[in-house]
Amino acid sequence: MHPLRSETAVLAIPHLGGVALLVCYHHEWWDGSGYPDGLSGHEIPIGARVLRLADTVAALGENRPNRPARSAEEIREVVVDGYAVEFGPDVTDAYLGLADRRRIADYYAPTFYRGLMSAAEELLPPEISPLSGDQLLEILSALIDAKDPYTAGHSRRVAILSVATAHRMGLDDDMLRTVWAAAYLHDLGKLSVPLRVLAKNGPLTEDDLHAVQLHASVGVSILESIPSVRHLSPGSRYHHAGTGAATLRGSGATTSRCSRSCSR
Amino acid sequence: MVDVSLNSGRAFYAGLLEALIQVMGTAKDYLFDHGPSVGHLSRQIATELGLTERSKAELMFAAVLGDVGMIGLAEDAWENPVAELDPETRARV
Repeated sequence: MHPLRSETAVLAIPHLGGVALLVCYHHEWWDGSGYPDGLSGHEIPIGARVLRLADTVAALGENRPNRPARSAEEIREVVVDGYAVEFGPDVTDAYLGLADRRRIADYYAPTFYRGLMSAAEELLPPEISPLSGDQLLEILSALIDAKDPYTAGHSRRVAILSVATAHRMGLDDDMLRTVWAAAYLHDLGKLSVPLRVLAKNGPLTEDDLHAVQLHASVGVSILESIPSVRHLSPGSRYHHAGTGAATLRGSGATTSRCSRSCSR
Repeated sequence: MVDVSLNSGRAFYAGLLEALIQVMGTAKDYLFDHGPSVGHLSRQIATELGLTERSKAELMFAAVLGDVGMIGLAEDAWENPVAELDPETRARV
């Protein structure tokens, strides 16, 4: 039941309680035949029904491995069929009104992401305790670990060992905090490795190996693109340096050595 | 936009949130823009319905985080319609 799994993950993210509710109910249907709780009509939050419709429309418009994208007419038919069944009259009318007046703006990623960060401004309180950041690190690492059943709890253990090592080396508090967070995220890029490779029983092909080795740089390019977490990226990039995945150099060396020697 | 003073707890938090969203995008090629395009469409429908700014913000985040629970499920669950999965996998999805 992925809405419940997602809800649990989102609920754990501080300050996103209202979001978790929508995630939980985004597969409920107006006629009561959806999941997970079989809610019907206005029992379902209107936002969850907006998501249901938008999810359907977006999915039908995409090429998938098992079928091509549907035409605008076919999508409209599906939405109309869902009027009193899946989405409810209010949400269906709003969408059809927009679509028929050709008022739906094209998706453009940079604009969307800017809007998303403004939405964060709307949802997050003015002051956020460092504990919320720690909680978010914990959630991210839980997702990373969920991807690979053989390494459950790995990220947290690496963080604990790395900080202990860094402390022993006499590093200052700022550095300890960086080592702590970088170690939690050192496998961030693992989320982009296909599960069939991670869980493979037997020898890896050349392509498989490439996917695994790429993971450190996927994680790092994400961290590097975000100013407020950019300082964590060297620890992620170089944590396999020496095993051939990347070359060790620069100021991240210390962070990286701490997480590398503890992740073996 | 989010507070840019890099040392604030808020900026760090928002940065981690952004990393989570970006990493969701790398999980499967064809899903790269799915969550964001759901969010984009949701916001426009919500505006048409006259929902509040806060509701719209919640919708956008729900769209990009909605499939977070899929991480770690069998990959065929990402690629096939629910009806075509074997019963055990379907229950997990």
